[in-house]
Amino acid sequence: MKFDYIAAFYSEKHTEDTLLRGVDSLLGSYPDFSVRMFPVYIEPAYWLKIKEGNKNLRLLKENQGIYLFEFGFEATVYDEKKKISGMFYAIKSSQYDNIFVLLTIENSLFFKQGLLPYFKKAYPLASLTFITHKRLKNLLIDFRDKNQFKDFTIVRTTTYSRVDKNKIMPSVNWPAFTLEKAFEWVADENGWFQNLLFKFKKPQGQKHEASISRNGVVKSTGYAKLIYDYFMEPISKTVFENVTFFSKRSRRDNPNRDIRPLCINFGYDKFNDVEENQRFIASMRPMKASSLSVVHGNPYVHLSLFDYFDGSSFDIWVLSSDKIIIVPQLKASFQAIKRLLNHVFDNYAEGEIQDYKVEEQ
Amino acid sequence: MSSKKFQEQIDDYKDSICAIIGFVNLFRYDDKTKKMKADVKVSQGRRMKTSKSNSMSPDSEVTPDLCIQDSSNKGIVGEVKKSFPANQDHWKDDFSQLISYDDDFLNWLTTSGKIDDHEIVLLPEQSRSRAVKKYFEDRKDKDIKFTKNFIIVEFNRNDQAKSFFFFRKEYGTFTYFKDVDARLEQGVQVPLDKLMLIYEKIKLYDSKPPLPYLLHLIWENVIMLRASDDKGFSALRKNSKMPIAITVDQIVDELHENYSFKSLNADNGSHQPKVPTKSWIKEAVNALVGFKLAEWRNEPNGECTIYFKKFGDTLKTFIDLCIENKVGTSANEKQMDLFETNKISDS
Repeated sequence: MKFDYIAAFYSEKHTEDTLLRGVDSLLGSYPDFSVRMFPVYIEPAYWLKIKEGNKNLRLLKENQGIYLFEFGFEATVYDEKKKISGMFYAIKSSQYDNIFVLLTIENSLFFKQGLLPYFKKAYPLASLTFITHKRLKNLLIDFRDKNQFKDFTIVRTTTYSRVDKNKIMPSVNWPAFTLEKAFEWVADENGWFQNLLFKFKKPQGQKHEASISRNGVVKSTGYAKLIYDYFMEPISKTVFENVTFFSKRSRRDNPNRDIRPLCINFGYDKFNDVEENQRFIASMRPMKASSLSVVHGNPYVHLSLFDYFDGSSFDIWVLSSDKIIIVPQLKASFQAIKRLLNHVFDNYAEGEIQDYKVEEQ
Repeated sequence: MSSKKFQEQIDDYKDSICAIIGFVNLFRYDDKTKKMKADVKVSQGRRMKTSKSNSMSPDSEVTPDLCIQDSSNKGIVGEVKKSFPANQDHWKDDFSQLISYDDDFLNWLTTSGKIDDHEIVLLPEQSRSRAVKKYFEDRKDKDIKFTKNFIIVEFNRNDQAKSFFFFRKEYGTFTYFKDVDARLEQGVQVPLDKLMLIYEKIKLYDSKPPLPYLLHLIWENVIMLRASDDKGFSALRKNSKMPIAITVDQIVDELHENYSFKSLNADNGSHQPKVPTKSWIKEAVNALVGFKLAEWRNEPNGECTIYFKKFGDTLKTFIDLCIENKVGTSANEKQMDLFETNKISDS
């Protein structure tokens, strides 16, 4: 009788180290397996509810911040409704409060139709991150160079490109580029990556395939521990830093009801003509679950944005050619700020997020 | 009234607020220390008591757009005029208002309530400033007489690569504020991004705002805040409504607390009326009733239920509703009638 390595894997009371080594071992034994993981911020009260369980979730085991859950849901498979269930781990970060890495070795259906949408729908009680283009490149370079993956090729990309003044088009490409060439290519296409699939291999090692998306979801056929160390750890740190940076910006949270604006600094004269204002406004209109009002559109921009997920609201200004200023109003959760920035980055352009301070006159 | 007209009114209202803030800050800001002077006190819409000898409004109260005083016991009283009517026959009223400021007021921020002297400043928008200056010069010492020093400072919003407000003296010289006078001789640019930071806490002043602008403020900062505390907020569908029980007083208090000149006024005691006024809010609620977005539960007590809905473009929705229902079509006017002898009423 063949030994059930999977059952043995799940039966162990894992630490972070044994869990990742266990995953690596399984990936070695089962060639059609892959591991998927992503960092997520979970509100403390919501985490308690998850641990308590519900019709979808059941906590099976916990040990030193490693939680094993059984998760079940209904999915439509070939026009037929089916009950699907599987397991996933939640690894509680020991460094960053309320940050977890969710990890599963279940199949694509379980992940794409079950686990990922479950946590996306839990927004704002749970929120994924977004990774800027620059950061994505640096993470990949780090992973490749520090682990000496000499053979490293970008084999498929999901890209968004600005095709004309107002249109952003998604596309899927199979470029077979080096990492650097891929980023050069997308810059020439006036675009950015939503998702990258790459193949990588050490000189004497086995070839593996992994993908990373802008919301921090990584899938890999091997090297689970390295993926965790080089992607999950730094992205978790980013999630935590974002939570800290974006928190307490509501006027209600500040003494004298002061404002705490931030800005997206493009570093160059992006708004060098009035048409750019219209492009920006047009890019904001499709933001889901929101109200967008143009208080002033030309030549400076003043917008009012309501977030209908949690009632956060913002004033958005373009007063100089190189930045967008975001002023959180009386209520502005960090989740709403992140969602707004994510929308701008995905639909308009990326820039550097900074505190906005102007000296009094 | 058209949508474009409402947008222009909203722009004018915001510009007036920025002009008040920008102008008072010229007196507050110390170029050497790069900080606001602690001894300069400002107020917007403060109730200043006139004397019995006031030629326009004796033994009454006036509420200038701005009052500035410093530790030398000297002050400035001013009015911002974003627009003057095309017909100059109507300018007499604006100058009558300024003449009513030619008086020794009570209710300055001193122990006695008085200061030694103040200067009177009119801030017309630049496109009218020359005509206003000529109008005044043709009538000064005849129909328009000031015993106190009178200055005209023009302002405009300039939208070049970086938007800014511009202030420049058009007539007269400041007697007591020589440093500011020197700066205003050539003109002073105040970047809009600096004014914006203060505007974000001051979206109302003591002039009645355009109705859609006020409705938008109420919706965002009072009603939606309450609605979002409800568990059903996130799932509320676009065509559904969520009832929010509230009073006129609550709306006044919350907007006054968070979006008036309260944060800039040196004193917010009894001589500083609350903005917005109850009457503006009652008018706004009545408009919402007309739009079937509210109903009175007890109108005399100001108790109402407002039905929160999720709009795709909230400001545009209110502009369209105002046009459709023909409400909010009167131009920006100061609530205070120049010749009113009673105190500002909150009813």
